[in-house]
Amino acid sequence: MASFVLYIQSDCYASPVLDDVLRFASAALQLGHQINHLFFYQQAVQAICADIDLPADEPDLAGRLIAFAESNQIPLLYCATAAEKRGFTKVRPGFTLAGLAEFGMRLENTDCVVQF
Amino acid sequence: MAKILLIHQSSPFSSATAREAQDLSLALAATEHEVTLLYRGPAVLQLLPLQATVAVKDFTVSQKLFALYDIAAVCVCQQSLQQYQLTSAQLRMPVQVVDLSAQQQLLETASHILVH
Repeated sequence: MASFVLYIQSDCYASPVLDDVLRFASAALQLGHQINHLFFYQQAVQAICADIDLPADEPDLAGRLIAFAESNQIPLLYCATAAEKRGFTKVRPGFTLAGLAEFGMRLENTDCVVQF
Repeated sequence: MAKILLIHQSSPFSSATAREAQDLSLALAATEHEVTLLYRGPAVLQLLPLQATVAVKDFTVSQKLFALYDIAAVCVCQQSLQQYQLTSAQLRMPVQVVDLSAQQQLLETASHILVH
């Protein structure tokens, strides 16, 4: 049993990164590991945007991740500064504002950080 | 307190990656982690003093805070310096020039590794 933090920083626009995160997180839970939280930084903060209007034939990967996190009570944190600088101020319900310092402090009791 | 190795491999001003990776490095050091920085490839250019002004914010001036924030070590890949025909004396601060086996050592001893 290990505790994980998933650190997501790569561009998630039209890329499968959020699906990678979801599959990794589900597998980890299935194996009895613990996911402390997910942290979104750099270009990945785009995932928090409330205003994204996806065409009907595109999968809503962020939505799937939110549903997964909610049902497993895993906090979805994002760097407020990185989001605000990009103009992402309308936040989708399910994401919680945090800072880099909070990310640092929460690493205290973490066995593994996995970067996406 | 965790031993965190941040591997920087992005050029300084072509995107926000280098700048935000440096912010993260400082935040992790400020939250009492033992932070080691390793600059590889185009990221060695982040450590060069600027010869001219750039159109974006010059985040590299904040490197003078590395000592204040107790960054444990600033390491630079020996091969990358050679590739860019630089010597450590040209860099903004004293650094440890590390060959590949020393870099492997850094990877082995770190409890968390983040790459930008």
